[in-house]
Amino acid sequence: MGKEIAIIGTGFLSPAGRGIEAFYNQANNGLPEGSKLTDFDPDQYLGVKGLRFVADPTKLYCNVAFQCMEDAQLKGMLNEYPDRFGLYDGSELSIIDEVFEFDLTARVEGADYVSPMKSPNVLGNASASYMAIRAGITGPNFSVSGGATGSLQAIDMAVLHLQEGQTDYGITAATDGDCLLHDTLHKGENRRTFLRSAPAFGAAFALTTLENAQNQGHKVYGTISQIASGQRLGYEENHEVLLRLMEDILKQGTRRKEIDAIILGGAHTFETGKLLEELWWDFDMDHAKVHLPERLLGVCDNNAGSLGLLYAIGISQQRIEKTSAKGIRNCLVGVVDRLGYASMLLASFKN
Amino acid sequence: MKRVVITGIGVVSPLGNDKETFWSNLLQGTSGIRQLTKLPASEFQGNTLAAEVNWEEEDESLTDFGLATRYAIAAARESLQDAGLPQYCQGSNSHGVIIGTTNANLDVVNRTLDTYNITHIDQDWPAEAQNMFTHVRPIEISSTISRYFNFGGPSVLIPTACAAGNYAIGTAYSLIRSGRSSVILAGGADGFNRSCYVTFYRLGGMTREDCRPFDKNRTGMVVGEGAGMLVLEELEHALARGARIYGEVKGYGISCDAYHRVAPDPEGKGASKAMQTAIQRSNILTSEIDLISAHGTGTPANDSQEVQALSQIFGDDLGRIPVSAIKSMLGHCMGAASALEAIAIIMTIDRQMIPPTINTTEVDPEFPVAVDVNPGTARKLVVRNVLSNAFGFGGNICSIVLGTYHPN
Repeated sequence: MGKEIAIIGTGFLSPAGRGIEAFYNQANNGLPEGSKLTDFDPDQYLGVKGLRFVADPTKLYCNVAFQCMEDAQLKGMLNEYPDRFGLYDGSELSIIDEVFEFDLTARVEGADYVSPMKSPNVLGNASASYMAIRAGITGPNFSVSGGATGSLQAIDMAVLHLQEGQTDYGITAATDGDCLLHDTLHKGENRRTFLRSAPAFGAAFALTTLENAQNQGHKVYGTISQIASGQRLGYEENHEVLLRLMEDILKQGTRRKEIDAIILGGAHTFETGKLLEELWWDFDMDHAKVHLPERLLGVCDNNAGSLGLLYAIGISQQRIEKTSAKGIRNCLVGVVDRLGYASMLLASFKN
Repeated sequence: MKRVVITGIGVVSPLGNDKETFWSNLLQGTSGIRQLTKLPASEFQGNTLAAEVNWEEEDESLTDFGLATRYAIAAARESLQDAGLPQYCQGSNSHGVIIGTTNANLDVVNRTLDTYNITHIDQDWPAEAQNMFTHVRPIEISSTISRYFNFGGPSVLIPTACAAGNYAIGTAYSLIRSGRSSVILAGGADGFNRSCYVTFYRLGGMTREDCRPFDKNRTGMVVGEGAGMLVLEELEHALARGARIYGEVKGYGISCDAYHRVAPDPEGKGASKAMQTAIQRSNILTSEIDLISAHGTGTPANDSQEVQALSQIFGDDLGRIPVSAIKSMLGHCMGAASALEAIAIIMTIDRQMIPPTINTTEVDPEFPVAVDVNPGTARKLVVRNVLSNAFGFGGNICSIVLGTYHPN
């Protein structure tokens, strides 16, 4: 794939608290019933004034993006080279309630009653562009709508730009959850899963090339060396597109026996039994432990990929107690959306 | 390094729903801007203009989907046929779909509200309304197009407002160069919807008169809709199958104003950065740019900052380069706008004719440099490289360079 990419910072905010420790706490202990995120920027990175027309998911996006930049100690670098930073948002429909209210007001009360101040919230790039303004980031500003694969797709775009030399740092984040209309949407989809939806959370990662991370002395959580993505073909089922992506990644040189773990999201959209069967019998991968972290935290939609990557970091640091895995070297993190679009990356860790 | 060429184009637009009609109307200076019919004009005090698509669905299986999906599939069908590629790709493949959009499926929100008379966000919805609402997911646009043509590679929906079409072309270019895919359907799509019209109405961005880009008396833009799709192909792949090559994607640049949520940086810093990057990555000199396809919305703020940015890149040399602003005819087709402009550029390169900018009678004398908007009528011009700008709310900016294809 080209240059290896290092994960040098993380951000996380949920009802369990902020930071990666809060994530470990939530993964290990769960959340009390009815937990709900109510403060979307507890660190007050955005201050307290002038936020009346800023949607909560945008505040959440900004909070975790600022967190991961702080974690990676990028303030000085950002001040000096704002155009060498890219911002990426993998959230889809996080602000659907705001979008809906906007149109509802126009329809019921009339166009003249719609506040123009709310118009930015209607757009899919609302969060990343607001973050750019607040942080002064003038490099690529990139939003994607990848459904359940969104957070991995955002990482994919950030990695693409880093490898091309368009940027030196990529800040990727995604948010999800606690929208009234998500429930409506899920009912319409007729989701067949016993899993509840995860409470709202945001997650972010700061990325750079491994070479730059080493030169600048950044701490490295792990590295990303391969990414693949694809749409389910006419003859495929959802689990088969994941297996196809896995094969694409393995073709690049990593040996099957070097993969310790496969961490998957969107598992409610395919039969895990079929996946395991093909993994064991057709791919000779019975040694790789398959993790489905959404079973611990709930269905994460946009953030299924973020969850997978945080979970992988947690296993690598032996912070996830609800698994028998003791550390990992190489793992595949993949997600498939119910529409059959999938994304997968190969992450590596030095224990 | 792999090269990326354009081998097919397809159009759904206010100026026609195939590439030849679109091109013919552009050359003739025909306006696609007419009276608003898709919303009750009486609700928009005096703002009654729109650039609407006159189009009928050919495939009944698609009627539940949002307009952007349907327009994009229609345009993609034409582009694949134009490229000599099958309408359904048999077998395993890594062909991709990259779509830019401003509004994604907001028309589905309108349709659900109107059909089921929903008046509160938290009311009980009938099952049929819930079912209709599932089509609101933006990923449905890119994913449905991939499934429709049985493309198994990367499929990305980029909602970066009115710069999204260029983002899609740039991203497809990067993915092909990286070896992830050898054929990508790239472009932009947006369907007419109430939220978008209300947004520009309430922000005071729409004109009540003609759209006059760069004119001293310019008064705003006109909301439009449509889709433009291009087949981007890795050069060796195109050559191996004997494809007709329209032109080449030379490079692109993305930047962000980081200035304001709905207003451009008046100094044009983000725009000049994107243009500079696009030209540098194309390995050409500014003197090798023969035409500029402007974002050119006709709003006072946009056109002013665009000329500021152009002057920073080209200086007085800008006077020799025609600046084309086809939104004067096409309206502002949102996420489809820059994709449709890319198609106009490809036709310009193919036919060596540049379309006019209509309605502009006197270029704003306040601009720091003179601008030749090629007013009134089309003309012949030797065109090798074209710089095309696209700017969106939130300060999202993408400039691309398209050029003639030369084997070496």
